[in-house]
Amino acid sequence: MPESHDSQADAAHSPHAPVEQPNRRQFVKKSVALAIAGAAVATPVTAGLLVVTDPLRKPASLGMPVLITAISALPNDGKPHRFPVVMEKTDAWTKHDRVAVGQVYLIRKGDTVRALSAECPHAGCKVDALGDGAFACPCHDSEFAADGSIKPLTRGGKRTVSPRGLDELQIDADALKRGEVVVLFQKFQTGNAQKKAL
Amino acid sequence: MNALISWLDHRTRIPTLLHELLFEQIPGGPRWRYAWGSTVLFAFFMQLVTGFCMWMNYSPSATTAWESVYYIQHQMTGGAILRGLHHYTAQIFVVLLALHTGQMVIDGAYRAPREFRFWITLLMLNLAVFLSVTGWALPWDQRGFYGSFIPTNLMLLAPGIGPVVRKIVIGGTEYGGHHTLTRFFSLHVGLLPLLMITCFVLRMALARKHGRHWVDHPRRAAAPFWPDQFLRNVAACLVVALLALFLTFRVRLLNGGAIGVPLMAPADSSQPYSAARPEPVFIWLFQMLKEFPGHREVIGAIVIPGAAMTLLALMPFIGRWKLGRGFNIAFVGACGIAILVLGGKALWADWHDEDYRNALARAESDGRRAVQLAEQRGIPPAGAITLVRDDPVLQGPRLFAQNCASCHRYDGHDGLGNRKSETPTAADLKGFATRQWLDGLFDKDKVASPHYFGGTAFKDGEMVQFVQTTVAGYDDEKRQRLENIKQALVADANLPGQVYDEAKLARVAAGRAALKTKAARCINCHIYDGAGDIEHDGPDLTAYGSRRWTIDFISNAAHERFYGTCNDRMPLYGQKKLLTQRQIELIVDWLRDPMGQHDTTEQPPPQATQPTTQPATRPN
Repeated sequence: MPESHDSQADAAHSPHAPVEQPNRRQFVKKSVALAIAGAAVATPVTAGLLVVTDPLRKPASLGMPVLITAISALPNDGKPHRFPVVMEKTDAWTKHDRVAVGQVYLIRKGDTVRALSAECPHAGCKVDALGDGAFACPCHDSEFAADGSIKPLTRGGKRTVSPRGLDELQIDADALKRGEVVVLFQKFQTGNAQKKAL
Repeated sequence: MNALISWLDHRTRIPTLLHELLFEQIPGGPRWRYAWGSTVLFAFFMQLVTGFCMWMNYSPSATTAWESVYYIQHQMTGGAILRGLHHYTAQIFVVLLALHTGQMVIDGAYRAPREFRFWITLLMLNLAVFLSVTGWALPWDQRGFYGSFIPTNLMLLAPGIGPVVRKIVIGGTEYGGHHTLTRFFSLHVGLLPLLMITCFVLRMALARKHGRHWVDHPRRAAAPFWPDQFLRNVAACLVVALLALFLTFRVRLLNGGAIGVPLMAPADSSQPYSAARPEPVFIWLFQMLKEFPGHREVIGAIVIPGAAMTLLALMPFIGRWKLGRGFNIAFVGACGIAILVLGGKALWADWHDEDYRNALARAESDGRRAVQLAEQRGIPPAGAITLVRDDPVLQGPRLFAQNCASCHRYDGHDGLGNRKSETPTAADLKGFATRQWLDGLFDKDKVASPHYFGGTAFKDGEMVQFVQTTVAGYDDEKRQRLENIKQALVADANLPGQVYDEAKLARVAAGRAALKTKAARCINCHIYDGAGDIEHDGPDLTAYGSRRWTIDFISNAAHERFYGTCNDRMPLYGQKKLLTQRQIELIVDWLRDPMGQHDTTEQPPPQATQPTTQPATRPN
């Protein structure tokens, strides 16, 4: 709500107010006029800004454990296999019971499973798995080894531009003992050498 | 600083123009009446700001419009205020613009060389109407849907181009699809505001060319615009902002209701909306339609508004005649009076129309329920309408009014709150199978009233006689047995939200046992839990009033489990496919839980695990 300037306005307009210096009177009048103009403009602008900045006050929706697959469905070959991440998701007003929200690469060696985010840490493109177990980003010049670490040079001899290796995702160890691959699905800031959750 | 200003002035002339505007001499000094124009401009500025911020969150399609507006209003900070400001300022804008036009006529501000300024103002008035009509539809609730639907139908009355323009504007023959919204939306946020801004700019440019129209005050000295006139103008603008704020918060301030404009249930062209009215600013147009019934509708919808607008446009020429200016003033005065009279008549009629007020109250409660469903369940991708169509609280009363209320009543009305003059011919089903309902059934003064068997073929039947003679003569011991039986029946009905303690469960168990005894005489006519004659006349009382029992009863009341060949006039809704299984469930779930406070899934009926000694468990 705008502030009240009634007392000042009255003083400026009342015919019984003591005669002031014209300059001072003018100054008060001009200040009151600008304050009123500010209050009037602030009314719609405040309401609008509250709504526009609403996303800043909403909690992050990522960082949920998601069942990706059964370990029996994952080939025990030490190579990356791409899986969709399907989960319940609320998109503003729409509630999706099951919707694909992203992709992960799972790599199984015996009883251990690693999960790598499919998003390139450089700018967020989805990386492709090459036949030999390495990864290549289709957008800019970035390649990664089978364990997700950066390959300094691409097959074409260009310097990899990604600032860090592929992001590893946490795997629920207890679920893995039950034969289920449950991944803590997260997204990370791109373009940083450090891995920081969004 | 001065160097910067002079550089800016040399390149753009902006400082000089600002100086000219601020220090323009006003002959006769500052006046409050000169503030009108700036309030119109300010109201439009408010619409641009609030409108843009809603645009950032709005999605125009038949499955996302209501949903995104619901999200703005109920899930975003300040959303209800934002939408309220936009909604009410829209109406303030129309009023200010109309009053400003009237002021121009009274001042003769249309005279040469200012004709174009006047015509542009008239054009803005028309643009404001189109902005209003396209804006109403966007929330896609029942109110907005019908509010814009009717004006688009009026377009059909315009000869020749009407149907063509209508088809283009609503994106097809039928109002109400995705393209109605996408087209209304692009007109509302694109073309129409752009034309309006152009009008404002042209008006200002013309004002600079011809000079403003000042009403000279010979006894007062001229004064510059800044600061005295500026102060008056911004004070008037602040009044506009405060008025919009007050209207937005008025329900909250006056009776503690919600902030902003209530969002009604999602648009549904298959459902009637008996509270359809235009926004208050245009209520006089609505009344004018009612003044010209039948094929004369075109007179009220098109001929009169068109003629009035034409006459307004001709005012610069009429004003040249000797009596012309007087005529013009008289004409806008007459228009103003006609608008007030028609609007007043419409509001007066609505105020005294119980059906309308009932419909409006129902529309608002439907809207609150739709919002509640969206909040509790989340909106599925197919839209909020799917929640509404499958909700017992919203659909139960409608189905009851359509299918049951010709014989039954619900708390004396038809389920939707409409009182009926004719006497009911079947029971009033409010609270069916509750303790209170059964108390009435076993009351000798009530059992033969229209509330129970009064209107039916069983008016003088065995049950009524039993209650009026046998039960009326019960001693204390038998009365206690009957109380236990009622308690058992209520427990079997298993209405949601009941709580049982140990003592109550003991009475339930005693009642269940008593029901099966010859002494209580129930099983002379009814069956209860295996006891009783197969050749019974009365309905099977096993699980009486439970969700399953009631659904089965409505499906086929003439089943041998219920009235058999004695069935009076109860249609066999399921058997004869008069209603679907789901529709019957919606009616039953609503009867059992009118406010929708509980889960509708069936729970086992309350039961003491061992009749007397075990501690009671809570059902549900």
